[in-house]
Amino acid sequence: MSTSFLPEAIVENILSRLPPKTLIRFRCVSKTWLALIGTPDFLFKNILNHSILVPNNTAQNPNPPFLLVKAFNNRKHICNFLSYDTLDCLFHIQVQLDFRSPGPLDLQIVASCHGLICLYDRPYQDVYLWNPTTSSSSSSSSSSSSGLSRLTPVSPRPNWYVKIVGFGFDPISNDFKVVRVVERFAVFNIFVKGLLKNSFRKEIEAEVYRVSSGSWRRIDLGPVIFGIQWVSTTYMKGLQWVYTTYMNGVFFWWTKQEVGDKIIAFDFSDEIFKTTSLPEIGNADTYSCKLTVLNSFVAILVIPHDHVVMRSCFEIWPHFLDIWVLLEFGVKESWNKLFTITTPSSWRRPLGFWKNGELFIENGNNQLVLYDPFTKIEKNLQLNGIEEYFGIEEYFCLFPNNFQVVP
Amino acid sequence: MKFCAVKQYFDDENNNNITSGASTTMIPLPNVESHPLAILITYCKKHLKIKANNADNKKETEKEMEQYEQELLKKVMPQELTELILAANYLNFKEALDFFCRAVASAIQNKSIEFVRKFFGLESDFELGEEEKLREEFAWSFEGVDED
Repeated sequence: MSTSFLPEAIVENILSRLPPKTLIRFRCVSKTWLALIGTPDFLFKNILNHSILVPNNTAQNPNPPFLLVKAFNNRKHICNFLSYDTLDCLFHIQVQLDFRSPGPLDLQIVASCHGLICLYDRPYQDVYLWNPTTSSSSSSSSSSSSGLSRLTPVSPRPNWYVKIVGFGFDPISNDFKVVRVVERFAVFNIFVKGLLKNSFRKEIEAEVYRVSSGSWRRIDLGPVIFGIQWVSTTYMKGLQWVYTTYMNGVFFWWTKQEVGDKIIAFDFSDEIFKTTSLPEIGNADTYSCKLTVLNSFVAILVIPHDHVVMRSCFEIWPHFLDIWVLLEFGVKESWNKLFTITTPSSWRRPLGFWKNGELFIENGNNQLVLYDPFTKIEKNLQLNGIEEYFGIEEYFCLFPNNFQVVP
Repeated sequence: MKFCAVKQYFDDENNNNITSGASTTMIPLPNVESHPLAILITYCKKHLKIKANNADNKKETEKEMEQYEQELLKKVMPQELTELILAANYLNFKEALDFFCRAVASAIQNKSIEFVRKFFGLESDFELGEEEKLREEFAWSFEGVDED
């Protein structure tokens, strides 16, 4: 029997302040510590789960003031701003583009940070930067967007198409940046056995736009291979799934490749692409997935399917939602399956995490629901009159006092 | 009063109707050595002083406290932390206890299993082969650990 100099309550006090990687290692200290630290899953409140779910340093990483919920309602793209703490809907702004009314899946949020929101108009491959604090409110019940600025499009370079777009903030140069990877098939003539033939090769380039300079600059792709991926959101067999996420100056994409799916990360400070493999998520025929963030860790929400998915993937019940968390980027072994939720038949799709592991879910009635995996209690957030295609982002606003609250 | 154990002592005294000549009463603290006690008293006084100086500004208080704590940690050896924690625990001085636990967590975060066992006075109680299995399964968590 091993007894420490310190009483168990104090040992718990100390351990509760350690990051998950350290805790996993310290499980090898003794049997007592193995039991004390626990295993990573959502079933119990143990020290390891706590370190994964609860932010350790709230002073340095405060909660954002707002939660941005974008929805498509009555053929309009509406951005709802909720209080992040109480989830009360404070106000909403309609996003309008010049000369065009984008369809529900056309206009997507790429990322939001430090008060700026990056939107992507997929059919036209246009990137927009939007500062909602410059929106003016009109006399009607909702205010319309202004302060939208469109970045130099790809089209001056013919035949290029955008593979991926990312947006974020570089704290070192104190600048907002947009990263874009573009591709084209270049056709050229070659002689084969005396005959002129068409040949083509795929050309791929990466470029970064700096808001401070207002221009694009080409950067090195490095050895990273971009397989097949979708810019931000894809519409597949009646569902909308999101394959990108952003956190702390790094943008992430889920990319599908023949050798196996990978997550590509782009750090806006050193402007380098890195990859990490995905875990073995199972043997099902296909998966519906969402890439998101849980308390500074990259997380994936995975629903396996063994048959062709119908319009609502939860129509055929039961379904299982697996939650995986990546504890160290670049280390495939550090993926941890936290929990499997048997989804109620009322659910449609998971949207992302709130605080302490609680999940936002879109239900079959097009409503936003909050689910607590520990208590299994659902709370309907009463965002009414909103059709499908929710997109959820955390929104940090620099000047919250400028907003006028519109009921 | 921050030293809740001491406060309890005064409360008990009052209840027994003994006039507490506060400045001359001797309070027995058998479980606390003089050295950690001195550090805790200094910590407590400093904490109260900073709080008084920045009455309205909580952020300022936190910032100054952090600076003082950084300075304090430079003078304290890691081994002394155990004593300080036990003293703060005995005196029921929550702020100091949390601070020193934070300091220990920081000190051991990147350390090896052997270091931690020595620090806490623990021995492995695993069955034969159990520990090896765990180490192998979670090998990635052993990367980048400080040399002992």
